[in-house]
Amino acid sequence: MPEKPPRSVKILATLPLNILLNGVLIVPFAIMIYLAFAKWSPLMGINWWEAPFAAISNFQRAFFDSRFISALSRTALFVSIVVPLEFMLGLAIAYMLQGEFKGKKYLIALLIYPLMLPPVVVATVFYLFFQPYGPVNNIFLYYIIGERALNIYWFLDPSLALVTIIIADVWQWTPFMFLILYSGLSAVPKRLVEAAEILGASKWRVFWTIRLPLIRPLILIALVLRSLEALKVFDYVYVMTGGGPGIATESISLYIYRLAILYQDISYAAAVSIIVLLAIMIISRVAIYFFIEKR
Amino acid sequence: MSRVVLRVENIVKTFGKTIAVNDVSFEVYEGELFTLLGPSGCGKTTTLRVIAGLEYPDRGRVYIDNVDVTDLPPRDRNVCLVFQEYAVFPHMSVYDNIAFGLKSRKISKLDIDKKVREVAELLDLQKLLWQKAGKIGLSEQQRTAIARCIVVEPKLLLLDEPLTLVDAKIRERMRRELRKMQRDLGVTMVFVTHDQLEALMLSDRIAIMREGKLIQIGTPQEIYDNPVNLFVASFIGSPTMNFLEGVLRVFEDKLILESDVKIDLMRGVDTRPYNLLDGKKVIIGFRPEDAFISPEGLIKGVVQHTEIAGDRKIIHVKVSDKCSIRVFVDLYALIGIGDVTSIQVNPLRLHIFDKETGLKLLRAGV
Amino acid sequence: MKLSILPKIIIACLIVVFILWTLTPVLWMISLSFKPYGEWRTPHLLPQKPTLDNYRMLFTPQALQIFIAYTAIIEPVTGPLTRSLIVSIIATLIAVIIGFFTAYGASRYNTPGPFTLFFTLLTRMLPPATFLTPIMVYFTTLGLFDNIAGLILLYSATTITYAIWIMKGFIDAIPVEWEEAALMEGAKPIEVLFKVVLPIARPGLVVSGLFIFLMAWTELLFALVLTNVHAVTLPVQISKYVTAVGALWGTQAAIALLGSIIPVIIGYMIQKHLVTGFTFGLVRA
Repeated sequence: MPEKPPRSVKILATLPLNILLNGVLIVPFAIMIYLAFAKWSPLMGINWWEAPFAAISNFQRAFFDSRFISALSRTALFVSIVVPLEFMLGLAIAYMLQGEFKGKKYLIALLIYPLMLPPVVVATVFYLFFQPYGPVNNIFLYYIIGERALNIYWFLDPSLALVTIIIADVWQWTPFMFLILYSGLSAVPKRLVEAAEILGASKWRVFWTIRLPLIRPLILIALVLRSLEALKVFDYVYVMTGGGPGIATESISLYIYRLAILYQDISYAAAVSIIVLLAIMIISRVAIYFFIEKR
Repeated sequence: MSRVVLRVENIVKTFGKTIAVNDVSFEVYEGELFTLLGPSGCGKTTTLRVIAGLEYPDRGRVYIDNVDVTDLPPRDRNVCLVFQEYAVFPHMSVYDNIAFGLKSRKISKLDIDKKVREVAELLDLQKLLWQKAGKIGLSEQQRTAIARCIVVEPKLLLLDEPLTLVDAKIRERMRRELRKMQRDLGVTMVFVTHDQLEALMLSDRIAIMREGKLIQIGTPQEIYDNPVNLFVASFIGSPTMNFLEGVLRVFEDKLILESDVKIDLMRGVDTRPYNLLDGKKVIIGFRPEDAFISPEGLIKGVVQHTEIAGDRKIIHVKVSDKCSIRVFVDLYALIGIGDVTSIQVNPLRLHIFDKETGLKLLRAGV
Repeated sequence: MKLSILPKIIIACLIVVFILWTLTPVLWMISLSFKPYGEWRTPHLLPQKPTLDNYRMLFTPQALQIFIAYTAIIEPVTGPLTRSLIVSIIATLIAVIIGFFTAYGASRYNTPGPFTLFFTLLTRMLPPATFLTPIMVYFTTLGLFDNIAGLILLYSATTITYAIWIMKGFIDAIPVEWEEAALMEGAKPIEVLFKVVLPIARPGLVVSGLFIFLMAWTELLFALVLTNVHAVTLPVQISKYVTAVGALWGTQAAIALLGSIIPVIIGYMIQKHLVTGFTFGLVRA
């Protein structure tokens, strides 16, 4: 193909995209920067473009905002729990499903449906699930600890509430890890596995020394993508716990949402958003360098 | 009398509707280089894989050192297989590749290191030990695959067409090296190939397979001199054997083949051994090197074509519309296209095959 | 090759446990949705007197009044349902069409270049909450608040990256020679795009389209922010049933179930490509 695109193609390939992205996303982004350095709330009664300048006061406020910091750390904690959990579970399932057997295709099809559900629905499902008279209390725990099970209020205890969110996320996204790992493991050339078997390696050893190392890039992709997604957690928190009890399960997304919608503290929300964005970009940069160095 | 290291008994293996291996049995002795030879799809690789334990036979048993290993997984059989594509572990160093099989056994790190270095030296891989196996050249990869196998000192070394992917120029040398290594180490080898020249050169004994069946087993000499049927006769030997089709007529002192013309095969010999064959539809076979130009030659024809073959020439002689034969002549022989010539066939090297079954009817040399 | 049976049994048991783990939550939800009010607190898996009341209430929310005095839910579920459909379909069309052209340019001519492509990834990788604030302000100013047009535009912009990356993968796999041959025979580049590439790339369009539809349908955060009464989509409605209404478990289960029918159907249609979608085309099944 010629190096330079013909004019018609060039226009088609860049113009609509630019209009869409600029019009819908870039402009608001600029507005966000403006707002972060201003002081504005709709409650003030003036238009946002008339807002007074506030220098870096919003950002200063953020550094002393304990609610913001706890939301950040809580979200980070959440990610550091769910991602490894999902990875290990997904890996375990992928390992167990290695051999050939009848109905394997159907089994896998069955196991991956959680991915397809809207997160709202999953949140609702687990909201119902963890009700005092829901199955977790009423059926499972009932058989273990009897009547007392009905008094466990999952959503009223700060730690338990976090556990429910974790379980919801793990339930929905473990299949994602499983799928990626499974398709990667299946793609390992059969000959290599046979060669290892002949040389005396057990199934376990083949898994660890041959298959797993060969899908390392895939694993990294899966971990990075899933971590980024987990950082965004909103649906489960909003629907299941409302950030509660109190603010014990408030994720960073929920906090920003509340700042903007509930408290209508727009310019502060904008500043907080920018801080979070920067934090994520910096961490990603660092992580990328870390991984590239490891090569 | 050598010990039997491998015994394969009545192996049958089917894949769906195809019978890949159809009742194959043979024995391999200690220290020999045994080759499974045949065209593509004849079942030789499948047989090898059954021996290795990568495929489970539908019927039949495999015995290694008199132990029935048929139900054992590959790792318990004390064999090793070098794949056609080598299958080195690309993400590991050459060292780790070679050491891989040893790590499964309880051997100290020091011993492992010693053995790995010994074998690496044997195969000239010492300089590459710390390179990633995926990044080295193809012939180095092959040597790594072989080293990986030798180091575990298997009872049987199995090789699946190891020289097929190799450049033609290097193939000669690698063949010799392989043979030398096998001899030096005394390891029993089962070799699979479709290249008959290679098989003839390297093997102590050859088993020829076709469409899943074992056709003939013997030393290269035996197979060359006495092919058991048409297929073997045409498959082995380069250039291929000459074949003439017709009805055999046995007379008191001569043998005539009635094709579209009458071809004198032999005169002045005792034809009693051939009496039973009188009137049979046969295919006569003889190799170009077993025929020569001679004034007393019985077969007469016209030279159609000459070609140079190394240190000799081959002439293509047209005997009749249906019969054309190739004969070796001296490089400097004064013979050219259009010359009439007479060919004499060594009667001891004349093979007679039944036209319908393809089987040898009479041993040559009778 | 006969292996010992014990590890296999253990693995089989573990797999069964995992299957139960996967199925139970949804089975419970299904059964709840058919249980009458009195049975909502019972531990039985199957309703003893199955009923469609929960579903009926979705369509006549006035009936909810008997449970609580005030409810934030004033419209039957058909509204949000159709709105979700409309928004998802139109957003998908926009994203796929623009994405297709962009992907083609990126694949064959490197236009737009890798920087822009990476930039589009950011729209998806960064938390949407971080730009909800200005979006809200901006859209309100433009009059796009509580307006499905606003949602459509927003969804197109945030999902177009999927369209670009997935389709680029599909287009990359098409041999360039066919287009070059067509060009040499005098076809105009636009013709080549529509007559040569488009038909072959159709599976890519379908896959990315269905995947984007899935993403648009299931989106909650922006829908919450940008809708109030008139543009409420199904995920918002579902969340309202849980957060605003209270202990109406059966009904909540019913609407959750309703909201999952279409995504699951689509999910199974692109089953093989789910991983491709979620990984922006990096992983091919």
